[in-house]
Amino acid sequence: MRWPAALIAMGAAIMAGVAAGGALPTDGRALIGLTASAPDGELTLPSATAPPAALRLAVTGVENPSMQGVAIALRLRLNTPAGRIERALGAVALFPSNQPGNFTISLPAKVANLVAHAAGPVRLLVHLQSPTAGRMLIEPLKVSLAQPRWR
Amino acid sequence: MEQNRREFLKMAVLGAGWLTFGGCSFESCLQQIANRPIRKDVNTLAANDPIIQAYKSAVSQMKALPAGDPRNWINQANIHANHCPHGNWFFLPWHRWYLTYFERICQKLTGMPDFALPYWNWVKDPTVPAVFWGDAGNPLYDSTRQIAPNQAIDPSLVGCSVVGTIMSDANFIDFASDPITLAQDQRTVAGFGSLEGTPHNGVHGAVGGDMGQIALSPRDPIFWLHHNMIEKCWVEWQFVRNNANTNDNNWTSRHFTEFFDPDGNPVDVQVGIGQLLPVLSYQFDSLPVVPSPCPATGLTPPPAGNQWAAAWEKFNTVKTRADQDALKARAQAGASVKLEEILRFPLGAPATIAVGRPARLRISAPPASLKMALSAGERVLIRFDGVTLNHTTDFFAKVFIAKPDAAASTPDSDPHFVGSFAFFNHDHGGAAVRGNFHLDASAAVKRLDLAGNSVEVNVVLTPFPKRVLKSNVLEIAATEIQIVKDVIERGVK
Repeated sequence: MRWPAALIAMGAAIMAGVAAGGALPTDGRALIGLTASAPDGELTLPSATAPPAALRLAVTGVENPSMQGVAIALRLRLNTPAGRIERALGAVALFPSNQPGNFTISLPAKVANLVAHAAGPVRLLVHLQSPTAGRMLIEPLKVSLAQPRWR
Repeated sequence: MEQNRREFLKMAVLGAGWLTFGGCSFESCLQQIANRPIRKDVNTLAANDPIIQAYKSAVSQMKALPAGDPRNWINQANIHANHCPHGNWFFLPWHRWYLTYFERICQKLTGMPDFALPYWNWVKDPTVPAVFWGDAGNPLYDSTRQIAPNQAIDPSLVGCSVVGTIMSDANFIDFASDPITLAQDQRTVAGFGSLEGTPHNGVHGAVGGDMGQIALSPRDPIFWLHHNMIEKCWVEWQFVRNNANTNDNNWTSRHFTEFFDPDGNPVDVQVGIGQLLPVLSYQFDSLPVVPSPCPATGLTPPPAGNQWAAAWEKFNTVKTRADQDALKARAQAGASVKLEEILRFPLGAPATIAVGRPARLRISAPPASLKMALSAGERVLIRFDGVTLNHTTDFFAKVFIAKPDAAASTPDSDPHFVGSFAFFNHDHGGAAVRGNFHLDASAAVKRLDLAGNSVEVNVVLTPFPKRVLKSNVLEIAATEIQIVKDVIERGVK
């Protein structure tokens, strides 16, 4: 079918064709809050029946009055037949440093395969840190995270 | 063949016009394209390299331009302050055009037509390059930076393995940030893709000061080299690693009108045309963005090896017309994301909707089934096929679910709101226009507590402000709810 060239959809009309996996709701409830003095947290991921393409993490709130640089380092902990293992996924960073949002984290193929074949729940270990190596974060600082998902 | 030749020249005009016209023969155009300026790794240039000296000169001159000149340093930064998209898929093409015109302004001011903006490869060198330090006497120095000359960006953001993994992600949306529509403001924050959310944001935050703020970041001269590295990543991802951008009209058709040419005149550019810039207007050196092998970091190594250095070399040695045509075709190919229909719930009758008379379309689709599909990673769409408009576009349609009292005044923030669709504002001389639309209802289905065995779809025609309605009726031949799964196909419209 040949569509009139002047037809352009608004809203999600055409967008629906590419919004694979869908955007996470930005009003998702925060599950954990990380601070400069308590920078570590742990979240349980839903099980994946196939190797996921990526991980989606929703940062639902940021209190960072000093506007210091903020990053969230991510690690997966999962059980395999060979035992419990952890894999670093890298980090995401806020820009500007008080901006919440949804983040996509690409997964190495090997890690995605591990996830699909994990025995039991997969844990996401999150760690609040400065994007500058070796720099400490200062209070007040609070970053809220909602339930992460596979994409 | 002649058609191809004309088409190629047209592309060359559009893509590289500010370089060449004046006019050039096909062969001389090809020659100019083959010899387009080469953007180089700043850390491969000596402090007294002509490129570094030209950049310093350009920055100084832009700072000295009158406040009313759009090429003035602060005015260039204000373009970013007022228009830059972040957290959506216009992030990459907008900054590509921004850098392109900035580079052209540098060329003009320095009288150096082959000036090419260097890039900062923070994977290889995670500290701010030495030529950007010093004191106020160095135009490349910014005293607001919070990072010190010997402090590195954390490897979890710019490390070889992390960026290697990002570069290996073949999905455009994952790589290049989330989609928004033409109707949405280009500054809508939809979601950060991995390139934007990790190294891009990380470098901004780590450098800090001006660089840490959207409104001020281009005032730090390192901004332009940082974004040129993002651009290098995109060029490698698409042309060297042979991945496909989306070919969705919502992306390719977007125009940006906030940039200025080297003479200070405003320009109107388009995302789709911008895809040709790395082929026609500038090129990068042949160094891969991720050095290989990765130094041992404890992180998972990237799957790629030295192949990317060879692939860059091949990409950069394009000289023949056939090679150019192949590159052009690749740039324009894109990928289509298609939907595999899992389940369909059609409405058995057509619908006619009028302004002031919303439609209530009850479709037999058990909400429990829809929610189960969502939890399995599938999506819920509402399709409107054979939507016919008999005159012009003085209104658009807002769609809700389970909202019997929906009205034109019901805000988009209502939890029942699904989305909108409209016809582009062209009058077809009274002829009917027809099209199909689909809206992603996943989020609404998910957040609403729906019960029973059916879902009511509410369609409300909403007049555009200050329009005299020539028609107030919309006809929809078929409406259905679908459960779908996404399938990506390359090079297909």
